[in-house]
Formats: sequence, structure tokens, C-alpha cells
Amino acid sequence: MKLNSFHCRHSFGEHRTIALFGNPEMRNSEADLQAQMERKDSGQESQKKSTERREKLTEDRLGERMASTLKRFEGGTKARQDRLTQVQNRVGQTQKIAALDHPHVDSPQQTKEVRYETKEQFESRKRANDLANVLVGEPLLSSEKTEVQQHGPDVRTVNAPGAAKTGAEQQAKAAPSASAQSGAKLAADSGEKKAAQQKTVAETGVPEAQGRRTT
Amino acid sequence: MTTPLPPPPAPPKIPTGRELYDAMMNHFEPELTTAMAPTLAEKYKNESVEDKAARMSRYELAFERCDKAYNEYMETLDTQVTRYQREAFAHAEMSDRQQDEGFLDHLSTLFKTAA
Repeated sequence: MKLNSFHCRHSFGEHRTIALFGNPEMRNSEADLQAQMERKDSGQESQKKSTERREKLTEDRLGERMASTLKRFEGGTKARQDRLTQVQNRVGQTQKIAALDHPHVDSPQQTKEVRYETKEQFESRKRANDLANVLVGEPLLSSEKTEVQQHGPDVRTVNAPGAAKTGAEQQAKAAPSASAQSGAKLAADSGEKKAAQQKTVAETGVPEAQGRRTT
Repeated sequence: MTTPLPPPPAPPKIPTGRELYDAMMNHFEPELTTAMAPTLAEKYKNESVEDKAARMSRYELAFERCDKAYNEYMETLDTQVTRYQREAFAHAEMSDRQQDEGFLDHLSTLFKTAA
């Protein structure tokens, strides 16, 4: 058991860190390479421009020279500012993803909030999680993703207050579309089924479909 | 025991192109700053041809020096941004690891309890 604990801790920490922040060795070498390439590009560009600018400066060309220098300075600083903004955004996104990765860890109260989140909250969290998957390249919450794929979003709202109402509404929405496709007979059948479900809900307080899902 | 995290790294301050130009040109040739340039025609309207040629060569030298200083500054700025990138990610990583510690400790306790 101690071995398992150690393995779990080590594996969880390492894989999660690499998924979120990248392999440290690769990350550093990539950043170095990028900086090196940028330096090389800017060096070549400045050399080319300085040879172009060998022509003698005259009063007529003074304004033009000033304007071109200013333009180059603006371009250079803007490129660096954009890169800095990009880095800041990436850091912010990574921190958000890291926070999403374990929303249930902090306190029992939070556990309750996550489990009983509304459909809107779940959708919002799912969108953020999808974004995380796109950014990182692999699902951070593999178990959660599987759950979403297998059962759909309403699984999360099953135990939420008002879930019975939501479930019944979904059934009511699903029934007319099925009847529209299959004809009058199906419509009548679904109507009967719906009436039976409503009766079950009225008697037990729990919709039949939800009972199946939760077990 | 968790050690307190160091403060997050401060991003490098990047001036605008005009600010940078004025700051550098003010050092090499104050007459070529964006504030002073429009006044040059009035200031040197009665200038002789020789003086004008000397002034232009002075300006040319100032532009060359300014270009060189700009390239060096850009290299420094690139280094600063790269360093900030590393430090910011390292800080985020450290902060995240620290948050994980509690959960992992909890897991360890569970394993020990189960054993």
C-alpha cells in the first residue's frame, strides 16, 4: 500500500505538471530556440536596413528618415509587447486550467457545490474544460471527460435541487420530436408514456428515467 | 509544511516606439526628438551651406548610433521577456504544486488508513 501511495503521488504530480506546464527540458530549449531565432532575424533585418541607409542624409530626406526610424521602433516595441501579452495570457490560462483541474479538493462545501451545480454552471465548466483540453492537447480530467461523453451533461444535474423538474421537462421536449418523426401512432404512445411518467413522478417524487441513471 | 511562495515576477516595462525614440535621440541629438524636429526649419532658415552639411553629418551619426542602441535594447528586451516567461511559468507551477500538496497528503492518508 505504501508503494501504491508513493507511485500515485509521483505519477499524479509528474504527469499533471507536464500536461499543464510542459516538459521543463523541452520548454527551456524551445524558449531558447525561439529567442535565438528572433535575435537572428532582427540582426539580419537591421544589417540589411543599415546598408540601405548608407545614402547621404540631406535636409529633404530628414523627415523621411525620422519617420522610417520611428516606424521601425514602433514595430519593434509592439512586437515585444504582443509577445509579452501572449506570455501573460498563456500564464493566466494555465493558472485557470490548473484551478479547474481539482475544483473539488479545497473544501467539502466546494464538493457540494460542484456536485449540485446547475446545468448552466455545468455547461460553463464544461466549456472551460474543453478549452483546457484544446490548449493542453490531452484531457486533463480524463475520468470527467469520459463521464460527459458517455452520459451527457444531465448526469451532473441528476442530484441537483430541481433536477426532477429538469428531467421531466427534457422528457416532455423529447417526446414531441419523436412523434413528429414517427407519426401519429408514436405520438399517442409517447403521450401515454409521458402521462405514466408524470404519474410515477407524482407518486414517488423521482422520475423513472432518473432512477435508472443514478443506479 | 508549506513554504510561502515568492511574489510573482514583474513583467518588463516596454515603452512605445515614440517614447523609445525620444529617449534615445535625446541622448544622441536632442534636435531630432519628435518635439524639437518641427522647429528645425525655423531655427536654421538662415544657415550657410557648409553649416548645413556639417549639421546633416551630425544627424546622420546620431541616427546610426540610435539604430545601434535600438538593436541592443531590443536584444535586452527579448531576453527580459524570455526570462519573464520562464519565471512566470515557474511561479505558476510552484503555486500549483503547493495547492496539490494538500490533496496528495489527503490521498496518502487514505492509502495509509486503507493499509
